[in-house]
Amino acid sequence: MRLPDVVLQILQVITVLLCSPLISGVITRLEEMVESKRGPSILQPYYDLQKLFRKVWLLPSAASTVFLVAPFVAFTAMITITLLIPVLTDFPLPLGFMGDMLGGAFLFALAGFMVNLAGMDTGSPYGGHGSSRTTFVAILAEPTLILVLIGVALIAQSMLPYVVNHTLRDSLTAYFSPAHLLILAAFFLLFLADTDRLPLHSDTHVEISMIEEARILEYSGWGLALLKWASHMKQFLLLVIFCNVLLFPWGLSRDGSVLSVLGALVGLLLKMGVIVVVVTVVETSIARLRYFRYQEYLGSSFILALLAIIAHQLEGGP
Amino acid sequence: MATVLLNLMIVAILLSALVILGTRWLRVYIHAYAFQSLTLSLLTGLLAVQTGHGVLYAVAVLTYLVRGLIVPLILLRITKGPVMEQEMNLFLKVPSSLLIGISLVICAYLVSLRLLGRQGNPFVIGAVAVALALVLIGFFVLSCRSQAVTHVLALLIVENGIFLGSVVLAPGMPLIVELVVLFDILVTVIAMSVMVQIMAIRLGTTSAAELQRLTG
Repeated sequence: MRLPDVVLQILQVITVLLCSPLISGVITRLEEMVESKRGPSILQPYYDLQKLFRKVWLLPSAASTVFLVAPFVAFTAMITITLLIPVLTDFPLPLGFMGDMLGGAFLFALAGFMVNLAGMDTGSPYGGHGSSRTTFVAILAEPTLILVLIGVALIAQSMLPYVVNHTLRDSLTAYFSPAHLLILAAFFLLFLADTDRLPLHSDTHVEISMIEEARILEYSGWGLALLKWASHMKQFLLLVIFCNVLLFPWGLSRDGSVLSVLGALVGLLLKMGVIVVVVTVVETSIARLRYFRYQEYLGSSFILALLAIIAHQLEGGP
Repeated sequence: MATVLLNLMIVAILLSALVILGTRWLRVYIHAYAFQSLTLSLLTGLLAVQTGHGVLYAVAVLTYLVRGLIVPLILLRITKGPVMEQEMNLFLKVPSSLLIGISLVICAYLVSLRLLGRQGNPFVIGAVAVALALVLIGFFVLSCRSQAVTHVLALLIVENGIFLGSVVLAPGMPLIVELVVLFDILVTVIAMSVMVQIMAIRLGTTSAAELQRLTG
């Protein structure tokens, strides 16, 4: 029995909303376990959100509308991106054509931009610090993102995530082409940078070394909860794009029946499990880079993406 | 399927040449070179299967033994000393040298496209482009890094590039040519390693940047 498209679309959003804190929890737990500690429960992010949602949102006296609006923009931007990408089904859902991968990139940038503004809004030194650092990383990461998108577009001849998924699923030649493998590597480096992980950022809660977290130090209560949830969702969405579109294009629901959707959900979590293990290994085995060596890290991801395009040319692509 | 594999190997070879531009640890350079030689010998083996030239099998094995095992082992032994852990003073920082390296690759691709024509076999065009790129990157490393060991590796990368070009363009080369080249490599590496040791003993450094005057 095929579920109606509207139901599938809603299920997609619910999946992202409900499962995103889980991934963050699992990563934290695994890292603590590698460091021979017990670590918090994998449900800890849910407890945190629940606690924050019950608390009052105190506004600083210097806050303006920007400060008030930013959490909502960030949160809705993430939900909108969910509508554009294949989370459970591999056939496009009605709202899937609202925007392509470039549109998704714009929405991520919009969310980041609003939180940056909010960080500077109250005039607290740490907020401005966080905003300026985040912008610095974003400026270095953006060229890679654009080149990754161009590379994907060259392989699949389209920017729609569904089409890319189908191209890679149907042709092993495309999947194992050097261009695609290099794009995978570049995207993974980008993922680590975008989700605030090592080698750019460590989890220590010291304001002076924070990057993205420093922007939201002024938030409290359910405003903070929205922002935290948005950042869990950002990580989850990047993982969905990485898993379902690029790395494992198989295993999505083809006919939209209840069973296959359930299967796709389990499959998605398993695929993410693989990436989560890799992320844990990376985060526990390398040291943080010096601030002025970020460009070496992001520069190498840029080179990988550029090489992907060159490799596509070397293969005799158009 | 064979084309996919060949393409993968070619890009792996290119990538391992760029590693030298992307890091400053000598040990990483040497491992990258060993990996490059291994890929090169696998590529030769695959081409032997494809083209049916019996000589290429022998060339593949010899390449692996000399370039993939003996030379990296000798180089690793040299870098055991306390002086040589990494490149200390880079003339060009990592991001800019990577960017220059990438533009050299693009340049090599355009040249190879011109040389072989757009109608040619895309694999040959790609392989020749990578071969040219290795030569260019090798010379670039020679001119922008100062450690003597890095210089040896840069020369070896140039040599790998020429080898790649010869295997792809003229697969039926007599074995004797390849033997001569391999002995040349061995002699070069051993001579350079002696020189590096002497530099380390007499000057306390292995960086060519410290050599400033000629003495008799």
